[in-house]
Amino acid sequence: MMRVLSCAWDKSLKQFMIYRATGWLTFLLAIIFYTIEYVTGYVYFSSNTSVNGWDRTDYLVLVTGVSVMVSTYNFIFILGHEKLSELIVDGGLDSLLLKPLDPYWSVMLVGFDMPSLIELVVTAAVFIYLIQNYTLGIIKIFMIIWALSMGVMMIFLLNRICICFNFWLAKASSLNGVIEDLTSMLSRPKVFFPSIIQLVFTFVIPVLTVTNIPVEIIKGDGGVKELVYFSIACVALYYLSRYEWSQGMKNYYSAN
Amino acid sequence: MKYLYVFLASLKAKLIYRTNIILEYGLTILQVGVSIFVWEALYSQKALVVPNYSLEKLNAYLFLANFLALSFSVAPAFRLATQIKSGRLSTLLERPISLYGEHLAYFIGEQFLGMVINLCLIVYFGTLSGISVSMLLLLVIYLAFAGVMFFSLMMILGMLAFWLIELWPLRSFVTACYLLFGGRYFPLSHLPNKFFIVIQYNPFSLVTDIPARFLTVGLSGYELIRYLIVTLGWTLIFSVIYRLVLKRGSRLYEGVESI
Repeated sequence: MMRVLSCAWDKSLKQFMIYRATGWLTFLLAIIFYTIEYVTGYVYFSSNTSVNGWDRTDYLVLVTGVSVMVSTYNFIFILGHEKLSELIVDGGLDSLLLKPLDPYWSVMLVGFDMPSLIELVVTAAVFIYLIQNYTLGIIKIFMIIWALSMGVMMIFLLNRICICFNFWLAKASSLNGVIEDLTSMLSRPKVFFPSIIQLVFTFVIPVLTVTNIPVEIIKGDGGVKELVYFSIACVALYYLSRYEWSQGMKNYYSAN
Repeated sequence: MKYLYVFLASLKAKLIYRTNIILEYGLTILQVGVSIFVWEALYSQKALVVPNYSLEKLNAYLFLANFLALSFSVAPAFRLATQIKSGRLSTLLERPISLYGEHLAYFIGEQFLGMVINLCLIVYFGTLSGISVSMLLLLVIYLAFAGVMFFSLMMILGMLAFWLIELWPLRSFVTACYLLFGGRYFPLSHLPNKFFIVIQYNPFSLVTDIPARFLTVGLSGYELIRYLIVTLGWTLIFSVIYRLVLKRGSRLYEGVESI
């Protein structure tokens, strides 16, 4: 497995080196999205007073945290998912199924997205700079890292579940980008939303949890209990996603 | 005639795949809701108030800006980008049909439903604000020109696919620009004046911010004509750029599925 992974890494690195200009253009496009979210945060909190317990730094940490999680997801998983949705719809999944690797994961071997790695480094640096404003012990730092990792896992699982709908729904192509849109829309403080929206997006489609948990831990509003529930939800969603995959396999018609 | 067939086919395709329509409108409503909730929180705590905009006007503005963005959609850019990436552009280039024309006909067919809804919204909000019929007609004419301008911009952005390897960053970039400069997060006039003077003429805001402002806070006919002239200017610039980029891009184009 490690050898296959290092092959994928080599290939992605070489590809980035060859198409350098394109790679940097990609990075630029991705970072502009983050910059605009940051600027919007500045506009919202331009008077620098606190709203519902959130001040400007909290909001900026939220936006940066989301960007860290999304760029990690993009770095590791996005190329695989783009390929997967094409393969399912076109009926080209056979190449994956015939290999001696678990097809659920092996689609990720398409490659790593190098520009996202650069974006991850940049946003992580901003994140570390911003959390200097808070007093955090070593335990909290560990919890933040755990929350960010679970967030990436959750984004991955939600996306995988959406993409696997392509096994049953024809041309529900907009479903592939739904989680991406939801994540960027819901990178706002949870308390701003009416309770019904909070309930739906915490317990049904836990995007709000993903975006808010790191900041809640930093601010002290959230503790180990929330993190444990979140981790359990991740594991449960993983099994759901696996079940969906196996059901999808039964429904799959090869084009070959 | 051939463009009419493209238009009808695209209209039919759009109406058949209803899941996509539901998702689109659902997400737009959510986006409107998110922007409104944030501003409601800011207004209720008196943290930030936009001058000239009461909460109802602000809500109406955000609603209009986001729904206009739905029919002035960024979809043409990605349809073209996917055709370039997959190599299917070759079939279009070989046919006796203009690339621009085919995409425009497809775009109008795809957005026909959205355009009808927008016309209803314009009539509703126009009568609510007490705007005369002639001014509303002027707005509709303005929107027609703005639509063509925006479409041209989307075609140019789609052609970035000649140079990009992965398309997903294009999506985030265009979405982000549209959200900020299109006034979908907050009214563009809220930005500091030195930015606003320049930014108010950007293509994204000409399509969403200007009509939304017209229907809520109000714009004089003279200002609308001024924006119309800027729109025509942009359309001219874009058509020149389009031809240049297509020429350079098609030299790079390999016509087979790349990577």
